[in-house]
Amino acid sequence: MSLFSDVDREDLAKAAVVANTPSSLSSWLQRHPAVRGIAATAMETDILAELAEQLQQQRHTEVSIAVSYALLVALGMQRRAGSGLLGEPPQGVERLTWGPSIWDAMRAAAVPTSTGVIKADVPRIASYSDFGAATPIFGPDGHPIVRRG
Amino acid sequence: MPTSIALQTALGTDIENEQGTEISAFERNWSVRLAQDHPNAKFRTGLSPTYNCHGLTFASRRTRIWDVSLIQLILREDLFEEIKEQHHVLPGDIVIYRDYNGDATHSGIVADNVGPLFIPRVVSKWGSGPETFHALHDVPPVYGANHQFFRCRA
Repeated sequence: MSLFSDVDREDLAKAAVVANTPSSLSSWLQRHPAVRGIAATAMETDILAELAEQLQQQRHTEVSIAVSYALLVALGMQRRAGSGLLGEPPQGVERLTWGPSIWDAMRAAAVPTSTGVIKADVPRIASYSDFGAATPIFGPDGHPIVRRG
Repeated sequence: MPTSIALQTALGTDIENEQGTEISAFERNWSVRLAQDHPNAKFRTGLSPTYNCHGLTFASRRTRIWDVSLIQLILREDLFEEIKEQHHVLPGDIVIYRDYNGDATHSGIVADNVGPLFIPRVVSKWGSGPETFHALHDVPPVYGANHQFFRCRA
């Protein structure tokens, strides 16, 4: 049972046969609804299992190759959305002509999404009101930094 | 076995390339449906694994160019200049299709550009498929909708 429907598999294969570069195939796959859906909802183990199954086929077809590329890209998207680190490519990806270059490009473009909170010093601000008119605000050095009125 | 040929820019930089050798059954079946999927396009040749679109545009139909960074190199070293106004585009200029990252997904040679609409028609090659005479945007979706035109000033 594939993660992709028959219609999606056909669609992926038609794109794979006209793609002229790894970059164009990868960027199109990253926008494909089925690939995005799998990246968002499928278990990594399921993606890896189907990818391994596709790569181990004795006789590759455009459909099996296109599905392999789609799974590879989905895996990269999923890892990028998770830890932000793609890590090493899945085993056997070198059997895809463009597999290593697609993976390397996705890894290079991945940005870690972990966040850190920095507590910054709050600047001290001194102000006074002069006859109810303009209110100059002074910084710590005593010079005005804002003047209204 | 795929082979490569000696290919250089006008400034003598080597361009990595590879000649394809096989047409698959899927590609043959896919090509049969092209006329239905693109009824306004004209398919002027049969299938060929030897060259791809960039090979048509930059290598006289002799080989395939895969690496998108080499397309930028060729544009620079062959002294191509961008034609920014679409109504200034002339037959013989080239079009580069780009994805949202700016990488070249496809290329072709402008065949005509007639007013008042000035929507160029292009000869390009779709993978191992036939050379195709088509309107600018009448291409497989994988090529994207962004494009730039260039003219060689060498």
